[in-house]
Amino acid sequence: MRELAALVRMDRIQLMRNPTALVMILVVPFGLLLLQAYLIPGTRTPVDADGRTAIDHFAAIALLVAAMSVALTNYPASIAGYRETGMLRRLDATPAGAGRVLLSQWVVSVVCLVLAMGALCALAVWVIGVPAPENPGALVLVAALGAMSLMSLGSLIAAVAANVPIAYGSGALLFMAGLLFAGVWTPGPLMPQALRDVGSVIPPGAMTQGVFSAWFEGELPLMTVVVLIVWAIVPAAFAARLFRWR
Amino acid sequence: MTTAVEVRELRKTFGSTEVLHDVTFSVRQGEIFGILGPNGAGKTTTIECIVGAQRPTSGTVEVLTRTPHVDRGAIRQLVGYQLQSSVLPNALRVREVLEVFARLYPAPRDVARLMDETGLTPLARARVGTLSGGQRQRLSIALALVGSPRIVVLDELTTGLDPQARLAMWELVERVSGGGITVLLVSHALDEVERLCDRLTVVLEGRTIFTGTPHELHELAPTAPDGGRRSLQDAYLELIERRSDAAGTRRN
Repeated sequence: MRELAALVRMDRIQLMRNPTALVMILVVPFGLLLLQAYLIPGTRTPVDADGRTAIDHFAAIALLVAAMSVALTNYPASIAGYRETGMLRRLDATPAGAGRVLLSQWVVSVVCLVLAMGALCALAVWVIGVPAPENPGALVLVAALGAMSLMSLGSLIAAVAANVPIAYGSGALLFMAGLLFAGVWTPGPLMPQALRDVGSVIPPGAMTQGVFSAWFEGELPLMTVVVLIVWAIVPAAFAARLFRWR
Repeated sequence: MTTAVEVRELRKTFGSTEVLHDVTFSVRQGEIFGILGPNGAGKTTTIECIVGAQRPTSGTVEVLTRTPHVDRGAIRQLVGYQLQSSVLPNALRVREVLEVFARLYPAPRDVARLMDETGLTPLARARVGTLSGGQRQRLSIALALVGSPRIVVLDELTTGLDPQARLAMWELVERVSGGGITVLLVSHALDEVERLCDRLTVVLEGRTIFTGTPHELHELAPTAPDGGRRSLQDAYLELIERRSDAAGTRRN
């Protein structure tokens, strides 16, 4: 346990002293939500039969953006950076072990995610005026599962990316695809059904749909939960098999 | 004297490329043992087999009677490893890095005392990214020592350092050895080897071509054709040239 605590300390210090990573985690999702709320016209107008506005949908998407920032860019880039500089090799020569090295990154990333998502919810509800979550427990569960499924996907990149640019590039590609399936450009009912169907079985889409259901409808869709659990396990298992120390 | 490291007929292949053909030497406990050879000779692969990071294709490696790739957990505690390029987390301060690494070991050295011994105390609050080459190497050695190892591997310790920093590094290695720790020193610098090593081995194209004391290496070619005394470097270069020619003839 003390070994894990030591690695978490190292990863936490490195993250806190890396302004780029902090910007990706905090500024991007917060900026996107504030931009949609105050600068883009028409986001307060109802877009569906239940009277939900575009900004309601964007609040759910902002949680996804925060999760993807950490899981698909920062986390894989950190591990790839360790690999690129030989830090993984250096750690491999200590009793730290591969499991603890990865677990430490997960711990730091999850803490970042909890803080970023909590702050986003607070911003959405208390500042922008999005309705409070109908089912907070379901929201926490589906957000956590969504984050885990994205971390699992990020682990695949982290396992094999030879350097930081490759990790960032691969992560950015998934990030952009994630935004599409989450409905950034076609929020709520504006999204074509085919896109919605594909989105419902991949982490970004499933997470956004699940978060929206829990937040605004008070429901926890079982199918979404199953999809997210599967994605949280399968890529991580592959990542563990493919992991390269150098 | 007890054996610390025993390497016998070590062979290592990566895919279809055979990097090590036959490396054999033994290191006694408490000595400073040099591993020499040109670039690509297989020195680092040999070291990686010794620390358990690579599994030998055939042959045997024993470190303090343990098989490294089988008993990696124990080897990680017994062997401190300073890597060829000083890989360190640049955002952390010197003391922070040492404290983090100390907590990875079950019986670590006292960090404050280790910083004193390695001359790092004045740099305790400096960010690793701001250190000079010599200072980074000091930290790198301190990290290799922080787990209280019985063997320490120093891979191209003084490459790129100025003469003053090299001298300081040599004195540090002598102090480490004086504390009873076995030192494996991978080096290209013959003056360094002559000053520090009790014995050495020369590896060429994945084979051991010489093992003995620096004096014995010098005795292989002590005088120049004009009768003048040769340096250890000249003797080493002549040995490499002779064996490279022989290997080339064999291949042809």
